[in-house]
Amino acid sequence: MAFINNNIMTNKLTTASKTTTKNNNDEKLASFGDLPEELMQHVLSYADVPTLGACAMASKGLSQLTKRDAVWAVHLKALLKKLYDENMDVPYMLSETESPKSTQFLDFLKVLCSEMGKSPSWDTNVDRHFCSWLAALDLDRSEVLSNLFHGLFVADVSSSREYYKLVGSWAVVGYENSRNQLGFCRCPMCPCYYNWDEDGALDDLPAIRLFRPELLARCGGVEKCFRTS
Amino acid sequence: MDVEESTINLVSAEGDSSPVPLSVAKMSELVRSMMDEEAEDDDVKEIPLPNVKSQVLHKVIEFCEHHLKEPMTEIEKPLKSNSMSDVVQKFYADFVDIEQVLLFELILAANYMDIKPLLDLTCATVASMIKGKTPEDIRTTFNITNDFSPEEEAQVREENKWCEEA
Repeated sequence: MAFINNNIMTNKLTTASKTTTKNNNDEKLASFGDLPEELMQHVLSYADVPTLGACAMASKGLSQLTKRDAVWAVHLKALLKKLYDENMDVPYMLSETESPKSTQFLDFLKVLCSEMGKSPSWDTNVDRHFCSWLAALDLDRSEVLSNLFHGLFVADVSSSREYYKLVGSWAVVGYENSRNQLGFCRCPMCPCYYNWDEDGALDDLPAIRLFRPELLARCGGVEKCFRTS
Repeated sequence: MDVEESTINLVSAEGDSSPVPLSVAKMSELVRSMMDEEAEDDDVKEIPLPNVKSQVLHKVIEFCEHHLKEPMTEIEKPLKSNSMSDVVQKFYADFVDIEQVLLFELILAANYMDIKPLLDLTCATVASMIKGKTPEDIRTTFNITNDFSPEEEAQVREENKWCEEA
């Protein structure tokens, strides 16, 4: 909760100033959009994901607000808790010399493609098959391979909203719809999630560290975050 | 006289003075800090709140007085219902059953006076008004102008389609 309070405290002068102006002009707040952004953001922190989607479509200003990390923190936390508390496993292997493009990983990509309405062609060659899925998902091959080789997942996630969308939600979909069919049903997140202080900054969230190479070192390295076998 | 039974006057933007018990006034971190700064002055009897109108200040005081008797339950995120009576106790649900303009003024006052439970309650109430609504409903509810071009609207709808299924 602290980061929300800090935001509000930080912006209090702005808010007070805005309020003073309105009072001096004897104007009334007629719309949600008249609130300072930090307070609109606090309102949106209570919204569920479908409501955030609807807000994003209401206006350009609201659309920008719904993309803020602080708005998605609550959903990420709930998602991480769900994934860990249900003991979903990460069965694919990682090593220094082997890219984790196992059949389980290909199945996971297949789920992504299916959910996105993509239909890549099948190829018996694993590498070509792998590239086919990546192309269908519009992912950059060299970057993906590079990240996979270093134990990172496919997307360059720039916000927690994107993280939730690209990885978390698909992982849950994959888990809930195909738990008996797929070996890979969860995004590869850092087990030290349990050590994450919810009052900490969002960048301290372990799952985010994994997807931001520059922060990986602070997480203690890939080996500590992935089960290797 | 017991310190907790002392009163202090909160002065609204219009200059109206409202005597309130110290324990009530100190629910506001702003008031608390102002009193701490003036701790050496035993004659502090008034706290000016130039950003808070009388009508709003009365609501704030009503909230704080009740909160001391019956603390509000913490509001879970995201909201599980669009009815505040499912989220908080009856008093608090009734407390925010007010016109939008006053609700927004309360949000600003709660933020200015730094009263976290009141800020949470009022912001959650606004969130409850948009929960489960369509973009058009949200625009209508809050008098928001659709500033997307038809092309932009189609694009943003496509970008956010996944949210509906989450």
